[in-house]
Amino acid sequence: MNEECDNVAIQQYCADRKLFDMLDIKCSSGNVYDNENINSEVPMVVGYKLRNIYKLGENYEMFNYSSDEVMTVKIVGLLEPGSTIPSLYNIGSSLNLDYAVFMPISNNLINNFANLDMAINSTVIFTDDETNLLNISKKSAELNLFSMQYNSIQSNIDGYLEYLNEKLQSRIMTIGIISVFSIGSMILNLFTLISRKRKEFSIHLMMGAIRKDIMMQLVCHIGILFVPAIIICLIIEGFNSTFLYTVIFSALLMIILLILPIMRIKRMDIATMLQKGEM
Amino acid sequence: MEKIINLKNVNKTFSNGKSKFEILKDISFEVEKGDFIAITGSSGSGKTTLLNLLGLLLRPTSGEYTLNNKTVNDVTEKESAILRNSFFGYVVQDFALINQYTVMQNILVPVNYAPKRVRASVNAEINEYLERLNIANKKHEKVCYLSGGEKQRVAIARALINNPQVILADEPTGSLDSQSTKNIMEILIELSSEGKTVIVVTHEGDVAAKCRSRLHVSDGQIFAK
Repeated sequence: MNEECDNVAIQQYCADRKLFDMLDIKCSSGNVYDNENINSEVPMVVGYKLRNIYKLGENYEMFNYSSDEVMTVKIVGLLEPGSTIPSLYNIGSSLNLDYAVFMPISNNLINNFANLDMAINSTVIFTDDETNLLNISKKSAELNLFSMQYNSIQSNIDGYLEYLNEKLQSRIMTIGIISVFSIGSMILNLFTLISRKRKEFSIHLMMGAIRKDIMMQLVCHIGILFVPAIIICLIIEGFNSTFLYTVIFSALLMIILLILPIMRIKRMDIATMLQKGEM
Repeated sequence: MEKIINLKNVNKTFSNGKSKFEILKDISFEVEKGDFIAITGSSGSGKTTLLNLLGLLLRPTSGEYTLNNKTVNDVTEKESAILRNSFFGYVVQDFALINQYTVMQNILVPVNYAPKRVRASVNAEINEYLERLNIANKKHEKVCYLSGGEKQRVAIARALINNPQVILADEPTGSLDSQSTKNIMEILIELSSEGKTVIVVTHEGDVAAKCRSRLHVSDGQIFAK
């Protein structure tokens, strides 16, 4: 058997048929093996990117390191492209199966101590009743076979959630710092705009505009920045809750950005603006 | 004659937080429709503050200010804006034009804040004023490329476009050469003869001499001359 393909190491798994059913892993051609059909040929399901190396229905000879014998494998199924399984050792991530091969769990395949040890260490057991596992663990300790550490999915999930929480906090902090600087620079930009256009604004006010008209000019100025972002979000996300949240967040941000400049405009008097403004 | 402006015991005080400065003290005078008044005074005497107050660019600290027999001391921002837009026309020393706008766009600024008018009639009116002020060929030019005299004529056209009752001119010839000064004063005299009320703030004696009446401001107080 080739140990790598396209410079990617081929992952070999021994798995029960139930794993495929439970995780809804499907074949694009051929079928997943049944546990009973292990005879002289070992059925094997291969990942999609191995389809050119291992042809469906063909037999291949592989060296079985556990028995020091050559065994014959038959390719019975080709997985759908991009098939994945959730990683149980690294909750939250998944394992891509495009370069994986699956064989049934069988004593014929795992028949020496080293392989058995490795298999036990990497065994994942799904159960509805945790006491079963605790009993196995207890029995193993009694028989002085293996010291087994029971690690529940819940504790893994808790650990992962803690990790996510830390990651989230770190991201919020980064976004916070970037936002503070961005909002600060945008407010500064608005103040610069007001200073630059002070005379123009004063002319509009003298000619009959009210402060609200000037504020609308600022809203338009900021709106020019927000509208393309909202349109891009609409194109990428479509009209869904994410889009609505983006619109609401943008509106809030606009309000925050405009508070100080609007207060400044409210405090200005036309006569002073006319005298001080430069064109 | 019909009184259109009336100030009674008007005061204007500015404050910088620590101290107060009384710029106008107990100002009382009346302006009749069609008057052509010069307000003179030395620099810092308060004449521009008085004009700004008349034009509703500032509010009096105390006293009563009436326009057409209606007190305007406590008008709302919107009412004040309407009066600035339709009752007054402003001409100022530095022209107060928007440099990146064309002549036409500058004249249209007050039109944009006025009640809706038929665009064609506005265009016809603008053309008429531009012809009359001899700047018809500059209609689509940006004002930054115009001479001082031309800019002031654009400002006058803008001041007239909403057909105001009162023209307030703050040193209208202050930045102009003698020929342009003469032309601008001729335009203001003409407007006055057509029935517009014109109030000119100036420190130039020969400009003031062309007005029919004269008020002198000194140390914030007003004296008839």
